Amino acid sequence: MKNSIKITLLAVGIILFSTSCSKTKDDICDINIICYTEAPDDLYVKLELSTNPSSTPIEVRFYIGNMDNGELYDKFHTTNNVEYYLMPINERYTATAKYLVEGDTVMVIDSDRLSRESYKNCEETCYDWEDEIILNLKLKK
Amino acid sequence: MLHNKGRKVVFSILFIFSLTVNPLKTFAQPLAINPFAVSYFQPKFGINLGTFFNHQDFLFDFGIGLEELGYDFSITFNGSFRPYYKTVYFKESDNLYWQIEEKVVQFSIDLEKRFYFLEFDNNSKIGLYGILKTGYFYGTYKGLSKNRNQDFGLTPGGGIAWQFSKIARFSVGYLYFNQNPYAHPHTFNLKLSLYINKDEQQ
Repeated sequence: MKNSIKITLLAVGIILFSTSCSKTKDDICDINIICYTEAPDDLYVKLELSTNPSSTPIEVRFYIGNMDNGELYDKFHTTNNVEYYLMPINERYTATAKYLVEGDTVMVIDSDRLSRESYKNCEETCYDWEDEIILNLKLKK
Repeated sequence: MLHNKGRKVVFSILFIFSLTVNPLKTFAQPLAINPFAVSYFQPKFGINLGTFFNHQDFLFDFGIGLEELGYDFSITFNGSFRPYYKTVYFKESDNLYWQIEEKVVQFSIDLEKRFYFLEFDNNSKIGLYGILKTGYFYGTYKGLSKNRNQDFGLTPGGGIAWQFSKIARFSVGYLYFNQNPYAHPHTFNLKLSLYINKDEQQ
């Protein structure tokens, strides 16, 4: 086999190997690791808001799923900078916030999936999760 | 984890360079050659990886396809994508704007022609190239189920190509990426192309 073929195959192999063979939690067996064997059913979705430049309450909508094809779960006006929902995991959640900026309406949209991870540790299934997801509904300009 | 993977990819690319580059040989005895001269047909299978970017955006670009070393052209199928979400603004109607997080993707057929004008002792070559990406572009958005800003478009570009070994080429140039609606269209383009060349020892 010519050198060029060897080098090309080696190069592709190195890239594939280095990007796919990272050690994950699946590989471990450590009895000192705190293992949560029960997964939570609900976790928090945190909505972070800016203060409305017009000083009026902000209209917030909260959807299960996407904004365009999901279910509208809640709609309210608020002057708070933070709101929380305790929601079932393994769902996507989307929130919108409407601000009045110099006569224009700016609707900020953010979305994320509430989920938890599982991994094996010494033949035991352990669960890992973030305490909350943050939907950033702050104005950026 | 993501950071580690990034480091490994960069390490891999640097390692590939170390396998293919011999700087002492590369810059020996330059010889001016006719940039329009062609040789016999030498089609090779090739892969390429690169990026195009400016002060407002950054996309990775990966491709596979035909590398023709006799006539110095390439026809490859490429996929490009922005690897992170960027905040953009839609004007939905009069006095209503959306602030939303966007990723963009483009699939394209890339046609590239190279015109080498300097050749070195070890057959490494430097020249100019022109490229035309013909592709389908779209944006995906957090909170929306449907893609937006779909567009079939042409992305022209050009720059300097350096074939630094018989299996590898590095290109630096410009790309006019005007499909991207929320970023400046003028981008820098860096690309590493690798190809299987059985004629290396000839």
